[in-house]
Amino acid sequence: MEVARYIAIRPLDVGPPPAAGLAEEGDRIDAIREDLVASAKELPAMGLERADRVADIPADPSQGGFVTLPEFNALLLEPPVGTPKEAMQEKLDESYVLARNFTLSLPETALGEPVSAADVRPILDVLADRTGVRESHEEGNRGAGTVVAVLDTGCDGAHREFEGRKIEFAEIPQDLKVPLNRVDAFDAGTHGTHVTGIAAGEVVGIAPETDLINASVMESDTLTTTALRVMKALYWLVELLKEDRYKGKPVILNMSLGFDPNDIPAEEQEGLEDTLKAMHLLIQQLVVSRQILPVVAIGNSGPDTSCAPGFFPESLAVGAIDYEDASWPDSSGGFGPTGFDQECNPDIVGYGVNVVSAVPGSSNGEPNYERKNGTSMATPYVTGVAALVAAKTGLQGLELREHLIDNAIALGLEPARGGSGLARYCL
Amino acid sequence: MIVFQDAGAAAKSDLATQEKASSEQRRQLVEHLEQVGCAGEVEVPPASPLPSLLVEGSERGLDECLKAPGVKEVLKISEDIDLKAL
Repeated sequence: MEVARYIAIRPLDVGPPPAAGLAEEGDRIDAIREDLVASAKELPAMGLERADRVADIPADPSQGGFVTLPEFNALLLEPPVGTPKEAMQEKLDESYVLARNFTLSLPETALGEPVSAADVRPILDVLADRTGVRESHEEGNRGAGTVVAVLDTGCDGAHREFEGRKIEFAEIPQDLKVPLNRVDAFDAGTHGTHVTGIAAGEVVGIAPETDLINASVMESDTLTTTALRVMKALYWLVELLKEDRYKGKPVILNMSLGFDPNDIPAEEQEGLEDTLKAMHLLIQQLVVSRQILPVVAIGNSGPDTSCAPGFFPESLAVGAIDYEDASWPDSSGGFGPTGFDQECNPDIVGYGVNVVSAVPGSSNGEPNYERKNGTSMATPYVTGVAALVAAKTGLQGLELREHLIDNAIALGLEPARGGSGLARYCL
Repeated sequence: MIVFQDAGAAAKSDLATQEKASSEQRRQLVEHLEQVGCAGEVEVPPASPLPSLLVEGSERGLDECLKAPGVKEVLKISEDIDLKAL
């Protein structure tokens, strides 16, 4: 159960009087702290013991704690799970206003750990030889003659990973009536650049010579999109692929996004079935009509969960493992809803833990990189490998999907954790 | 909403044949909407190489799309379902 956090704040004129001057400021803060503690004397009886720092509050959800925030004349409360707000309010002075402090956070994958450009290792030094990526590059196959399309937050086309590359880019608006925006590639967040870098970056990417297409479909602040926006991007993609330069080229579509139908609240389920069906039929059409292979993240919610569009049978659903071949605990797996998927997910796995790739911008003249976790990161690994295989064999769509599954490296994981195994370049 | 056309054999044919079929079915859809006085209520994009069209319009327009020749299915896409980065 989620631990709630509250701020109890009171007006500045409650408590010790204002300091007469800067020299007295330190003493005043100490006085406020003492006064706050005195005002909170009944909290320990409710299981909220005083702590010096938030980090010192017990992690056990049956215990609680509070810290003083004298600079704000406030208390930060983390009560034992299940403690009613009203009960805490009763124990505090009436002058306090008690407010739930909702945590504003990005999805876990967005919270990357910065990595210095000097510490970034080329992909061939990161991946084991058994993945076949080294063999492919040494043969001169770096994905040329294929197309990788990424639907995500966008991509920083100016990053050194994409230097000299032409990225076909469109910003897909939420409103269908607003025309899409064809501009130089940019990233509304960091997720899309990271994903694109893994699939096709020059240093950290697996298929750096593939033709890149990138559609920005996600809001930067929420890292979410809608089914409608994704579908609009897919129609843009098939229009673009009509151009002569793409004719005959295998196309791999990377979607490090999705939703779990079981997460949709009951009151919002209206239209869910139609939306799932529409997405599924459109994916089928992409696969059948244009031989596009959708490589899709299966989700980050652990066992017995799976996301659309990853669980559609035509998608190559990707789970995550670490570089030691252990399943990432948060990687989703299992069966999709009845009627859409009778196969166990994921179909295959890729590296999705502590994956270093590009993020937008630069610091002190050096391009930015981050380490991130997620099936979002495992998916472009598989996309990159698929591009290498397609470049060499000419396989497309469902044939390419089958080849990757049949030639994956068996890891000894149960199917719901490891699928057919780790994707590899193997002809 | 998305209009799925009854593309039949065209679904597995080459792209040029599919686009021709899609274009013809789009023409029939637009013609039907004009005949029933719904043309202004539904925004129909140019034909794509896929046997489906992403259109936007009123409830009445959606119903009329379903009555147009060659239209197999009309599905309404919920705008309330978010897909998230994983």
